[in-house]
Amino acid sequence: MTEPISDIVVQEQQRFREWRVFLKLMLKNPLSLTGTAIIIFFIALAIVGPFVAPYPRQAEGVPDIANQLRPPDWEHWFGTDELGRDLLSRIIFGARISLTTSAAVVSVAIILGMPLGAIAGYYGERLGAVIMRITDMFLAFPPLLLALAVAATLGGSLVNAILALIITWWPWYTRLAYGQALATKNLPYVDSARAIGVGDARIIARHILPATLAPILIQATLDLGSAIIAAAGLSFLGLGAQPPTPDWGLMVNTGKTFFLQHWWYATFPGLAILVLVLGFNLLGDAIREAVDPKLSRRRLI
Amino acid sequence: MARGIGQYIVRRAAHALVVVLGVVIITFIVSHVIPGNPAALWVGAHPTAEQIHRATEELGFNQPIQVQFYIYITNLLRGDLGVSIRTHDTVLSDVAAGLTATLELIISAFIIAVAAGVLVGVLSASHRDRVPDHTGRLAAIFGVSMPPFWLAMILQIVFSQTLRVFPLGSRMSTDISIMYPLKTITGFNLIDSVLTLNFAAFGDSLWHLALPSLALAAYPFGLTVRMIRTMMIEVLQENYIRSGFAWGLPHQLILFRYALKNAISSTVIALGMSFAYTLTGAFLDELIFVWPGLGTYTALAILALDYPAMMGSVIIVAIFYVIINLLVDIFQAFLDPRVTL
Repeated sequence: MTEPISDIVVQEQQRFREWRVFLKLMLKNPLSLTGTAIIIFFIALAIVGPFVAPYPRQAEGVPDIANQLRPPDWEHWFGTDELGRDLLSRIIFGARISLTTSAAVVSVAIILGMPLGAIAGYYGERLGAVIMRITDMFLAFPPLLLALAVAATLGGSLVNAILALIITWWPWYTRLAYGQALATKNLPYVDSARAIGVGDARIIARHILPATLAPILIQATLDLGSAIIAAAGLSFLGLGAQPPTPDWGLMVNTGKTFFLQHWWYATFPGLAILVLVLGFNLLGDAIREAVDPKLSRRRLI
Repeated sequence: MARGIGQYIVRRAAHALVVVLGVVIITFIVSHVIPGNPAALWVGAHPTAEQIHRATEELGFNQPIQVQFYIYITNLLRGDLGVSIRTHDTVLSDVAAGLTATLELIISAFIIAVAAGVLVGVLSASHRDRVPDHTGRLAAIFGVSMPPFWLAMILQIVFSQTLRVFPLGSRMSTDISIMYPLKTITGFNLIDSVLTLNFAAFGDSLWHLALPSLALAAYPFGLTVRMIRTMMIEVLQENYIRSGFAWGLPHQLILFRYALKNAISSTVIALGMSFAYTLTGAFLDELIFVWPGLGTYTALAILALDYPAMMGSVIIVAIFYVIINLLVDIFQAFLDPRVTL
């Protein structure tokens, strides 16, 4: 079953060219560059946060009662909160929480949802129908609503919020992988794999799943942003991280009580959410545009 | 073809019924099966041992799971969603009271989002890769990246606190509602005030509606722009559009009449999704603007650990959402009969 060497070389060359075109498009596009820069910036903050934050102990929750609700100045760039803690430091510490939360939600949702969708699409018939009906039931809830119910039942904590979001998120990946698996399962290379006696499990793992990966990764980039907003929404209702965690959504929530007199309190943590989510959306959009032949036809010529 | 659509509607409605059953089952699992002490949640914050015991008996939490499900579903079919701990009214009457306020907010946000979204989306596609396109796309991306509750607060700071041009919250000013009391006919302030020719109340309601619906419109606006733009770019490459331009037809006519018409199926999908997002966006938005609707009710229920009220409104909103999706699908079948195949 070996292919002629020359064919493989041609294929590899073509693949390499596609990648180069893709990379070129991404590097030429100011939007994707901005998005990438934002994401890298926040990841860097998440890693080195404790070393660059001006008041690391306050970020972890130690109050400084003498400096309550100070407006932004040189000492506290983003001002201080009702316990006198430096908001800039707390926002820097919050980057780690937001990024890990959304990464956990999206990756576990993919790990659960993608194989289910691939199995449903590959086997079709009864099993596929059952899996997809159950998926439909989860998708029948408006976004965030089911997460609210689950998080409220489990009780407010960051881990419970992550769990609640995973429960609402996996069906989207199942549906995406299902469509992709349906489109792939009768392609010649899958048929020939079946014809030479490759087992179903191996076909799904080696041929169906990889084919579903590209659209899922694009969706995941966009979802990393949405998950941050969703988690912040839960925190805003007290269903996420609990004080004194420097969680952005929680900070906006606490800031709500004070913000009409102390505008900086809720403004800066919310701005952090906006900018990071903007980064993911800019990058996700640019990738989608670069790989979608219908949208990028003109640029490739 | 008409028969095809009829069959499609029946099939789609049957599917919706199955999905509603699924929603009921999932809500049951969340409220009865997930570990934790549901009886304790059911009686509210700081329960006594005796209260928990009584709730366990009343709600049948000590019975086998299938019996619990039977009790749950018969109560639901009778419209019995329990009694709210916070308001001491039945959840059903509370939900009914908040529904029109929420609908008024959602519908106006939806209208803003769709009107602006379609316009920006079409202009973005027709001026592809030029300034209007960049501006439009950037606006769309900001719209979907904005934490909705934060946008609501920023609008309050800017337009109510600093500029003082819009009110901070609520549905009507106290003085207007005393001097020009509004008779409730439909529950929609804007409609009722027109019906009773109460123009002071109409203006006041509209004035109060501005900020909350604007805050709520951001996400669906971004969504609509994105979908319309993508679809329009495809359609604009079609030959019949290009010959339209070659013939020298007015651009507006080509864009909004011929091109948008053929992007219609994705337009309807965009509208359906926008509606879904305004529905849940309303939860936090209403809370911030003290809008006396379902969202504030649910959010306050969550904050007060008012469990029956929370699960009750969750199930109502979910069923409502299924119905909206059904209507969107049927509407789409009428516009484009191919979907019935």
